[in-house]
Amino acid sequence: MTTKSTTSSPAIFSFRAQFEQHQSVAVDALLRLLQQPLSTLLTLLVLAIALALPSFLVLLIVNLQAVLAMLQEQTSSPLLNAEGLAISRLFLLFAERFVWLLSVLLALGVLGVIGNTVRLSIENRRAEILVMKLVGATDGWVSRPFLYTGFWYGLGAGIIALALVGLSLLILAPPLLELLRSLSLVMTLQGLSFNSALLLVLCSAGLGLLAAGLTVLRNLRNIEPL
Amino acid sequence: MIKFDAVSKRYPGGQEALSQVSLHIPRGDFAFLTGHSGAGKTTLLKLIMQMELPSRGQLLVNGQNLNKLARSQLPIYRRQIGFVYQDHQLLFDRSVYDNVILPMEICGYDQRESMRRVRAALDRVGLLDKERVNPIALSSGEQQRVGIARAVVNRPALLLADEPTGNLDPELSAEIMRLFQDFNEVGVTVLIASHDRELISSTGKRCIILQQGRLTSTLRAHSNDISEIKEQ
Repeated sequence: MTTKSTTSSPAIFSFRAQFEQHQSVAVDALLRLLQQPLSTLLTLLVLAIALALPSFLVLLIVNLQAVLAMLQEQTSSPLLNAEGLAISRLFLLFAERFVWLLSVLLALGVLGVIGNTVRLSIENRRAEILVMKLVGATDGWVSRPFLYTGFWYGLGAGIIALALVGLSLLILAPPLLELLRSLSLVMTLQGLSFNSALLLVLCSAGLGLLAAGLTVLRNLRNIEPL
Repeated sequence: MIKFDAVSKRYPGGQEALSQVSLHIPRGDFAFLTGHSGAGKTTLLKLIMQMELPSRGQLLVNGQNLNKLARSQLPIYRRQIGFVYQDHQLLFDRSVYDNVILPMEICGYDQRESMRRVRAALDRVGLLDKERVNPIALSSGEQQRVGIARAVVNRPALLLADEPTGNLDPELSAEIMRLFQDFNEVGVTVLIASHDRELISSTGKRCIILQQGRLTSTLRAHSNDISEIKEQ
């Protein structure tokens, strides 16, 4: 019995070549970002704050809900009666929806900032794009590095946002726990779970890619050799 | 290879750059396009490159009817044409090598083959020792040769040039012309727009003459004929 080795088939070869090419474009995009350290860092920081804020607020709400649940268990709580608890719960529901709304607005802001950064990058490389189109580059080929730029911005901002949330929790946890202990509430603060952290970073990278994609669609078609 | 059938080009301002031009350039031919500035030489080349669309008439290049070419097919169409610009259109953010390899990367050749062909093209134009240099550090003639290397690196069937010797002294011009003739000898169809009548007549190749957007004549370029045109 003979088995044909799949690794040597031309299809695999061309796939590998394409993969390697994609990889190098991705790395080029990353290097280009690192070449303008200040503006890249500033943009990343703004984006990270926009991403970290809703995550932080969500964590705050989750922890307040936990506090309320504990207070409810201590029926003889000197802090809140049944009525107070109900009102607090309603307030948290409102806060939850507020954070949702804020998240959507901030996500739009993130789209705008990354989109604008990619647009500037397209403008800066206008001459290069023209030459590429003249020697037969497709729109897809020309847009790839810009898509990677958006992706790297999103990914980077997501990771920094994660660090910011972690750092704020680290700073705020000790006094907060102290306060709760003085109210005879013993609990541990809930941080971002692994899944939520992953979701944050993936959403952020996705937002970056989306922003770049929309910008490329809007701007790249207009750059035609004339 | 190239067939114009009553092609006209009118720009939005109402100025007619080409009117009713019909011509045929067979495969493997070497032809010059000449005429005063503003006669429509560049427009004609731009129509072939599809950088401009004709207002009327039909244009066939390498068997393809350009009126029926969809936007998505344009990049693939352009890959069969090498274009040499008067202002070189090189990218100064990368080396000579990286400029020349660009069409190969775009066409998706694997790295080893690309490297081999880039070296061959640079060797052809005599710039192999300058492959790591930024083109901004090169002389105008050398930059033009980099432009030629980039135009021929993916072995196009058709080579167009717009005033390729525009800024060069006669000696360099002749050298560049010899390069074009070499490519023509291996089967590449060459069309060069130039107003350098002496250079054209020295090659003895076919010459297409445009005057105010109209094709006035095509003839073998000999000094006598060219001077006749001049007097017209």
